[in-house]
Amino acid sequence: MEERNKRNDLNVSGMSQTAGGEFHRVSIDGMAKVNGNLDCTSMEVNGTLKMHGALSSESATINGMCTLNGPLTSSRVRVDGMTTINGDLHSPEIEVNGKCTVRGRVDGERIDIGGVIDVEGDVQCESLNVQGNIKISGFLNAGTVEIRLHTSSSAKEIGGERIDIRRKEQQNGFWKSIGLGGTPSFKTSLIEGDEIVLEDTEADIVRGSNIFIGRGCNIRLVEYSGELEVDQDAKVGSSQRI
Amino acid sequence: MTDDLISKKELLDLTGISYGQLYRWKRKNLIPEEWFIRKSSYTGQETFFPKQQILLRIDKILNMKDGLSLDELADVFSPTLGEVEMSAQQLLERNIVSQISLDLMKEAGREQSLYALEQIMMLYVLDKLLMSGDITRQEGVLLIDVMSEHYYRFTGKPSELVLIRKMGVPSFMLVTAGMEFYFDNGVKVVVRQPMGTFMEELKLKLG
Repeated sequence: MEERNKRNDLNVSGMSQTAGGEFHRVSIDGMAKVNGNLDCTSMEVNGTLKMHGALSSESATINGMCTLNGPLTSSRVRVDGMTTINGDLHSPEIEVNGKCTVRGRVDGERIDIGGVIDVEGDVQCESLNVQGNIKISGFLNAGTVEIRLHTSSSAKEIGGERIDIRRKEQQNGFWKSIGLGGTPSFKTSLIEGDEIVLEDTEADIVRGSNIFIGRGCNIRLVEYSGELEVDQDAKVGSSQRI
Repeated sequence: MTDDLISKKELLDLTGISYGQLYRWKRKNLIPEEWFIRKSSYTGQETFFPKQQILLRIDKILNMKDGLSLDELADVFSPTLGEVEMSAQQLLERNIVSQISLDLMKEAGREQSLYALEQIMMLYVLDKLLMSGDITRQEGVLLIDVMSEHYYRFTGKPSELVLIRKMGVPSFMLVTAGMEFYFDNGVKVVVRQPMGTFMEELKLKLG
C-alpha cells in the first residue's frame, strides 16, 4: 500500500488517450482510451473506457461503458453500466447490476448478479446468487448456486453442493416491461450436486443425493442417492436410485 | 487407454465422496482440470478420470484433510515451485537428502551454497532413486544434468521422469505427463515417475 501511495492518480475528465502504466487512483469521467496494461489501486469509470491490455486493480467500479481487451484482475468488481471483457475475469467479489459480457472464464468467491451476465467460458466460485439473467456457455462450478428466474437463463452444465433454481414468486414490473429474455426458464444439459431444488428447469440429466423437482421442470433422467420428490406439474422421463 | 479411466459415477461409488466434495476440490485446484476427461457415452456426455491418479489423489486428500486446510493442500499438489532456499547443511539436518546425493552434485560440478526449491527437488529425486536402487551413481550424474538443464521448461506443468537403458547404456528423459512413447525391443524402461508425486512428498517434508 505504502508504495502504491507514492504513485500518481490518473484523472480523465474530457477525452484522452494514455499508454497505461502504474497509478494510484484512476477515475474516468469522460472518454478514455488506454493502450496498454494498467495497474492501479482503484478504478472508477463513469464515462467510457476502452482498454487494450490487462487491467489489475484492487477495486474496480464501472458505471458507464467499458470495453477491456485483456483480462481483469481485482479484489472487488462492481458493474453498474455495460462492460465487455475480452479476456478472463478474476475477482473474489463480483457484483453485476448492469450488463457484463465476459469472453473468457470467471473465477470468484462471491458473485451477485442483479442484471445480465453472459460468460463464454467456465464460471467457478463459492457462491453464485442471481436475481437477473445469466448465460454461461461453459461449465458452472459453485458451492452454492441460487438463481431466481426472471427471464430465460442457461448454463452448459452445473456442478456444486447446493443448487437452487426457482422462479421468482412475484414477477416484478421491470423484467416484464422491458420484454426481454422471454418466460422464466432455465436450460442446461447436466446438473450435479448434493442438494438440488429446481423449478422451471429443462435439463437432460440431474444427479445428486437429495433432489426436489418442482413445477415447470422437464428432465429426462434423474439419478439420486438420497431422496427424490417430484411435483405433479413436473415432467421427469425416468428416475433411478443409485 | 480406456482400462485406465474411471467414470465419475464409479469414482463416487468407490470412494464414497459426494458431487459437492468433488466439485469443491476441483475449485480448490486439488484435482487438476486436465484430469476431467469428457467423453461421449450412450447416456450422452460423461466425465472420466485417469483411474490410478485420481484414486491416489482422493485417498491423499481424505487422509490429509484433517491436518491441513484445503488451501494448504492445494499448495502441496500444485506443480509450481515456491520460495524456499536451503543450504546443504540444512538439507542434511532435516533428513531431506543424504550426503551421497550432495557428493554427486559436487561431482557433477553443480554444487551451490544455497539450493532453491527446484534444486532441492532435483536432489530429492536423485536421493530417492539412488536409495531405492533404481539407478547407479553414474546415472545420478546424468539425472542431475537433465534436470538442471531442462526441468525449468516444465514450470507449472505436469511432467514425468523417464529412465531407459539399452544394453546397459542409460538415458534420462523429461517428458510432458501422460505422453505415449514406444521403443525398439532392446530398450528397457527402468523408471517412469510423474514429477508431481516427488513434489508432493517434498513439499510435505518441507512444510
